[in-house]
Amino acid sequence: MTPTANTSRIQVESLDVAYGNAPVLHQVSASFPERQVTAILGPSGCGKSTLLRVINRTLELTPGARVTGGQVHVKGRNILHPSEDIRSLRKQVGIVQQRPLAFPMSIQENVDFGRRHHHGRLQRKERDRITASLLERVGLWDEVKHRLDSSATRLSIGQLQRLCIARTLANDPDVILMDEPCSALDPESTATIEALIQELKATVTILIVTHNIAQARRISDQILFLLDGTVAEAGTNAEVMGAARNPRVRRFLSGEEG
Amino acid sequence: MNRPRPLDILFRGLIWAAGIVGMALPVWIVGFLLVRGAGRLTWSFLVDHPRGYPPGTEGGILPAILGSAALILVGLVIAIPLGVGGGLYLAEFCPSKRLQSYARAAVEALAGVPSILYGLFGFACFVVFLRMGISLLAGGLVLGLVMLPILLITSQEAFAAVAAQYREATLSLGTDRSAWIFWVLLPKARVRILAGLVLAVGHAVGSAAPVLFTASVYFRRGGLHLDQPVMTLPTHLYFLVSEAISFDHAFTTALVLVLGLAIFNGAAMALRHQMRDS
Repeated sequence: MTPTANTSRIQVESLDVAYGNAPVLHQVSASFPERQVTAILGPSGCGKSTLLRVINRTLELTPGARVTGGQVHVKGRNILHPSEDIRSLRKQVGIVQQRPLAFPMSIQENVDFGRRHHHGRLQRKERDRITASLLERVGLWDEVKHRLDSSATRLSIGQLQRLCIARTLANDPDVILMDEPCSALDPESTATIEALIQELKATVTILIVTHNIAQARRISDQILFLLDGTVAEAGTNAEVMGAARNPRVRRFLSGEEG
Repeated sequence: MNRPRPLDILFRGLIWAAGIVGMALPVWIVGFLLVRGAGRLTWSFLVDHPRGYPPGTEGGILPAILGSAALILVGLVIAIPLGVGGGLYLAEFCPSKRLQSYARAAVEALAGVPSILYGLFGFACFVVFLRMGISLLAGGLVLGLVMLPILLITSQEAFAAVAAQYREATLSLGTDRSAWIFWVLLPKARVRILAGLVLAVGHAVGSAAPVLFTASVYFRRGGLHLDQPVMTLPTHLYFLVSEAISFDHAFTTALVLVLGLAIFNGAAMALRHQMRDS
């Protein structure tokens, strides 16, 4: 990709991943520049979500999934090394999943869940201040400020996705991985999330997996295109969207192939 | 319009018949008990001791109600931690799928063992070998064993039913396994675990055989003590009928047992709704 190594927050080198004996990613190399939005595109099953899950090591929670080769560096540290502190990595590299899930607790406790685990309980006043600030940041405060103590399971899916982003932000991460965060949302909620992504990139590096070409065009600075578990195209938004070299990628971007 | 085929009509008729019989049977049993037993169901029957000669021909069944409740409580002290803990182990910690399936098959086999065998085991192990005697403790332990496999199986299923995405969502925040288990998995699974608990208690409270050998006596006055025998509802019912002491009291005792279970189930359902809403 275009950015040089020293401006990259994340570098992936010759990464191989398999589920059981079936290879999913093969010799994937990529750099993801700091404080930019990189869209990861490609057809279903090409390994987009797998790549995200390697970067914060949630892949290993799936039985049979394993990294069979290569390295992933986050801020210069090889996060696949056995000595890596996984909890600290996951705090630093948050992930927002495709299906937003409310934990069985109140809205406020959901937001505070990860932060409380890492930093302990706060005085109520301080906790309320942090919760309000996070919910304002994701545009949810006005909708839930009078029911912070009610169950988060009653939120709509759009509200829930924003709650999950607030929960991830509460950990104060350097990187946020988003796995099709808008796939279940209506256009209004999608617009809210996209605006939030644009705001977040001032402080956070964002990798977003999406099937929505128009969305990738709107929000990304960089694009990584995967085909059959390998990198087919990588570059800036303008480079890939305007002049992709790979014919399959061009067909995919033009909508001829989906 | 197409006319239904004879096979369809037959099949539909069989399904309707099965449904009607399935619903009518419990209604008929409860109705029968109400007709035969409701006349004697008074407050004094619930709060009085058995009286008359032989005891049970007059008076009430308070010691049997308290004895059954105490046995269930002692049993739950054993069954809840072992059942829920065992289910958690199988669902979350068991190192291999094969071991998990063997353990599961063993527990399912245990759930199918006739309750009289639990009684015999309890008599040999707790009453004789461990010298507990016929007592509340020995009977409670046996009822704990009766409830254990049901609770373990339903707990394992409850934990397994919590989607893997919850696990990933929790751990992806950098939290540890204990946070996942205590803050997400257990609260998410609690409604199903409660359903298993209701099933297990319902099964245990009506079991006469396990407590007949280990805990119960025909008649006893005095308080509840762990090292003393107790009266229980199913064994009191058994003695009233088998010794032809009082069929009228037997029907009223059976009605109390059924109503007690209905109240317990109703309370559990209300709790489940509350948990689901929270």
